[in-house]
Amino acid sequence: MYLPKNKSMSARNIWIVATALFTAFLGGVGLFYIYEHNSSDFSTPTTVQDKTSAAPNPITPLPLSQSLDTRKVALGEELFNDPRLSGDGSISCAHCHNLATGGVDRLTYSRGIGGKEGGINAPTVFNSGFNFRQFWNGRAETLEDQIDGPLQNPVEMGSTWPGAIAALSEDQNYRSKFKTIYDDGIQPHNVKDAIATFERSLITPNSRFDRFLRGDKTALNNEEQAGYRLFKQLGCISCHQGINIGGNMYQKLGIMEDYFAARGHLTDADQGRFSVTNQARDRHFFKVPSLRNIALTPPYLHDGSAKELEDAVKVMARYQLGRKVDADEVSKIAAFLRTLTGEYKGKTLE
Amino acid sequence: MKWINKLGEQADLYRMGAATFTAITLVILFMLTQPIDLRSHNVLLSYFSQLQRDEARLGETVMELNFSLSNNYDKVNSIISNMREVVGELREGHAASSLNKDTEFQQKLHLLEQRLSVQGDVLEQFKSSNAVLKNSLIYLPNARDDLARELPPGSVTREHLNDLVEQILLIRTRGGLVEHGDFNTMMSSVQKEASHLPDRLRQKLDYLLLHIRHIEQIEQEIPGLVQQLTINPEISDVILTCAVEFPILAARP
Repeated sequence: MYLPKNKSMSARNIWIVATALFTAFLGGVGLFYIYEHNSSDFSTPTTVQDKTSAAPNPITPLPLSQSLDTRKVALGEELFNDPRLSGDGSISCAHCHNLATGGVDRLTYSRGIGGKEGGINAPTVFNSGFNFRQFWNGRAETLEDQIDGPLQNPVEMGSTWPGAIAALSEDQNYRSKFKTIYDDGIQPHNVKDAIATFERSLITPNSRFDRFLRGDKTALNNEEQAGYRLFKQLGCISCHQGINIGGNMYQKLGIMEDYFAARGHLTDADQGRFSVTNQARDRHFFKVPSLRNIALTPPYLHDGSAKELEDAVKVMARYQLGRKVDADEVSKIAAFLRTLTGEYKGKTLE
Repeated sequence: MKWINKLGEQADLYRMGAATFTAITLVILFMLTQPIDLRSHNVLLSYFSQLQRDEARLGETVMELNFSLSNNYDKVNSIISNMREVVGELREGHAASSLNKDTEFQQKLHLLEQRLSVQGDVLEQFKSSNAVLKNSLIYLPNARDDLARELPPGSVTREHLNDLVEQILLIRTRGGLVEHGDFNTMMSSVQKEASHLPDRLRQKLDYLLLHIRHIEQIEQEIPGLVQQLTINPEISDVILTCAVEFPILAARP
């Protein structure tokens, strides 16, 4: 029988115990890694990243760029300009939201298929991704939801999803592009996703006012700066604030004086948010429109009743702010508003 | 004797092997004997923690807006939108897929969605009212000074107007109007006196009184809205209950 000397036996035992402890240590480290790895993966849900770190300035400049799926943007652009999405194949989204004219048609009320007239002024599609809701009455939460409205409205595009999908499916180009981007090919939710992604790409950064906000004090002349001061002093900024200078809240049209009584001829569109909620307190409440590129999108207000920027300023001062403003003040505010025209694809919008 | 020594060396190897085997077994047993699936537990817990954080941030941001420390509604919109997204993710995403068929969990989520929807409506009311209030509060002092310059010194209208504006601007610091009756009497007397003023001054005074009326009305509704947005047990209780009950339920093997 092998009987080792005491000294060597003790050394061997220490070695054995050390090996066991080391193995246990490795196991422990492994376990720790597994748990830490899992918890770090899920400690913050992916949908709830902090998007609110912007400084609480009343107005913040638009970002200079966005990171979007370029394939979807390109496909969305094609769809946005494709009249086959309408019932009779005559008009596209761009018909009312012409990017060459500020993202609107500059009509009081837009005209849909067969020349049918709608009941509300078309809002601009530029920067619409920054609006907290879509449509004047905010009935769509997202750009994707919004697409259902005009596509199926009989006085706008007058189409149906099966009809639109059938029309698009006849095109080999679309079949191939959809298949590349989306596993399930040409489907209504994919069409919406592509168009909404394109619309999110329609941002107009680098307006003179944004440059001013970024520190270029020469970007605005004295009159325009005076206009901005008035914009704040008169209280316009109470509603027109945030990254989109509006588009992030509802407000009643006619706070200080009854706008609709003065104008007369009440229409369904005048009900505003009431038509969505059926709550009396929401009557004549509308989403505050963005003022970005406002100089390019006449006529103004949901009813297109203000033909010029100056007219809109006067209406707002009287019915919303309860102020009497003189011609000089109107002119300065309008001058400031004209500095909100931004750039698209590197060129200032016209 | 060589073979005896060799046997001894092999015995050492066996002992080492046995110790290593025991250590590995212990580690594996430790993992297997964990009472819950920590991964699922952590995932779900993080979602409810996020909701609790967002709820607190919502209250904080509303307070900032209420006290004019901020005048930008993007942040508050983003917070409530995040909360809706988290609940949507819990309902449809993978985070709580093991609880998809749990009736109680689904009911709690539904309740949370309903209460968030109500909270969203309250937030919209607050934003609209707060904007009108801020507009009038910006306007009032300058408008009073402007009008006072044109009114004869020592006139009753001027005195009453000063009292009225002082009362209305101090509503918030005093926690409401001290004497509502007094306020209405003052309003009526200033309105009566206004009838003797020239048209131009009367028009200015009418605008000023209109703003005072708005401030008075909105100051009555704002505290309730702020309270509902900052301290709302209806929402925090549901989130807390969910945070306590469901991560453990989801983590059961």
